[in-house]
Formats: sequence, structure tokens, C-alpha cells
Amino acid sequence: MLLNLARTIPRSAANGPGQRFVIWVQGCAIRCPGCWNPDTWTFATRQLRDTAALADEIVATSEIEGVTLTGGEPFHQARALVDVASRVRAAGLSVFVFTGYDLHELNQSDHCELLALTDVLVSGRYVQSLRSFESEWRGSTNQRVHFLSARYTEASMADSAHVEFHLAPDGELSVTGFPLPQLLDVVPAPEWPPQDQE
Amino acid sequence: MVDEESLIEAIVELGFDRTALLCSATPIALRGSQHGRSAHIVLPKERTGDAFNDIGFLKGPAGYVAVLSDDHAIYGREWLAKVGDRYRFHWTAKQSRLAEAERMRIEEERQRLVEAQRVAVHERAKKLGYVVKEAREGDTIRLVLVKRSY
Repeated sequence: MLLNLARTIPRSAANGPGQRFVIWVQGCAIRCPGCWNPDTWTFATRQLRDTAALADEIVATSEIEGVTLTGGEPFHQARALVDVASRVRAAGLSVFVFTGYDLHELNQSDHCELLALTDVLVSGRYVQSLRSFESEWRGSTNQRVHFLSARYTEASMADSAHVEFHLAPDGELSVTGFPLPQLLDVVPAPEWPPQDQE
Repeated sequence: MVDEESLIEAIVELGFDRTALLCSATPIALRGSQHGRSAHIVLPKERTGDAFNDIGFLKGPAGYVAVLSDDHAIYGREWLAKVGDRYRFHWTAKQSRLAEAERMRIEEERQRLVEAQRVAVHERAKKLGYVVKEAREGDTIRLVLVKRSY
């Protein structure tokens, strides 16, 4: 089974509890104004990965406690992500999902299958006017954190960095997590409004 | 042959005394049967075993052209062919040196940029009350910012 990806990073401390492998899927129909990742909106093929191979890569990554699915909108590719999530869960890793949908909107069968494999779900549109720098794991205060298994609790929120920078060998600086605007002076802002979108 | 440095290295490698070479940005008049001609690089007749003629290399739009007698016992056509061969060797070596120097310059520039970015994140994070945990992820540097809990 194939998954259309934007990118992955093998280890992040700013996308859920502990150190996590992070998958940004490609494609989002919700397209919240002010989204930090507008390059992930288009459904054009960006990087097709075999889900079994991807799961193998995640499981082989050292010192992580789980995988985080974000994007783009993960539930647009729920079927493929069920395959990834079930494999990594079987290896003892946890699953954390960021979605732009509210929980009650996730009612298709493949949505339910992915939710059944999810330990923590952060749900809801990103609303610029409700932007928050204090809410753990959330970009705006309307978003909700759902602990769908007993693996994590609200106390787990403390076990997460706010923001993380990745400095590539060529000097390119990328940021993930929930940065204060003052921190972003050191990195180029994403193109807004996004160009070349469908 | 277009590069003076490589040409001189070739001539010297083939046995000519470097200190006896005359090099000039403006052509020097040649003595002997080449009378009336001039060259930018001159091997004086006193050092070539020829009682009458200087040997020269005149720089033109297409590179250096030799000015010499075909029948010289040592510095004739055969010698000139060897000069050409050694010139190509020294020219190639020089290009490699220049490429390596350029590669090092780019690498130093890259390292300066990465370090400047790293320091900028640290300084900004510190001002905002974050503690920065730094780790290597292959060639990438990870800078994890956590709020101080005290």
C-alpha cells in the first residue's frame, strides 16, 4: 500500500510526548488560513512510500516511543495510515495524530480504524484568531486533545518540547512544533498565501 | 598553452634553471636568428648551449607560441613536444589545486553559516526563557527548545 508523503523526520521531541518519528502526509482539503504547512495542501504526488517499508523504518529507528501523523490531513489517507499504525503498534510504539477535523466528523470506517489505533488525537481546525502559545500540542485554543488509550494522560503533555529546530548541513533551518513568533525571526516564514496549490 | 605558471613549471621540470628564465609582461627582444622577434618568456642563449639564439615563448590570443630553431640539439621540436606534455600535467595539477581551494572555501563558508544559525537559535531561545538541548541527527543538528520548569 502506498502513502503520499510530504516529509518525515526520524526523531522529534516537539510533536507529542517523548521522542517521535514524524510523518507529514501530503494533501489537505481543509486548508486552514494561517496553516504552518501550506506546502502540504496539494494532493499532487510528492513522495510515494510503501507503508510496510515505512513502518519498518520507523520500528528500526532507535530511541523513539512512537510515531506522529500530521500533515496535510492524515485522515485523507486513513487506509494507508492504518497499515502503518497497526505495524508500529504491534512493535510497541505509540501513535499520535494531528487532524484538522473534529472528532465527530471522523465517522467513516477507515477513520474509525485509524482512531482505534491512535493513542492521542489532537483535533479541530486551526483558527488564527484563537492562536495560542500556551496550549500544549495545539495551535489554537479551539483544538482538543483526546486520550484514546490509557497509554498517555494529561501529565504526558509536560513530556514534550515546545519547538524544535533542525539545522541541515547546508545551513537551512527548519522548525517544527509550536514556536513563539519571536522565535521565528531566525527562520524564513513559509510562503503565504501558498503558491502552486491546486 | 595559455597559463604562464604551468608553462614555466614544465620548462623547469625539463631541466632549465628557473633563475635564468626571463619573464616579462611586455615582450622582450630575442637575440640571434630570431632577430626582430620577441617573447614574453625567454630562455637566454647563454643557458641553452646555443652561441647565437635565444629561445622564447610569445603570448598570443590562442596562448603561448614557441620561437625556436628546429635544428637545436636540445631545445628543438622534440623538446617542445615534451614541454607541451609537461605543461598539460602541470596545468591539470593546478586546476585540481584551485578546485580543492574553492571546495575548502565553500566548506568554510558552509560551516560559518551553520554556526551562525546555531548561535542565532541559542541566543533567541535563551532570551525567551527556553533551555536548548542540542543533538546530532546524522548531518543535521537538532535544537530542542523546552521551557524552564523552575
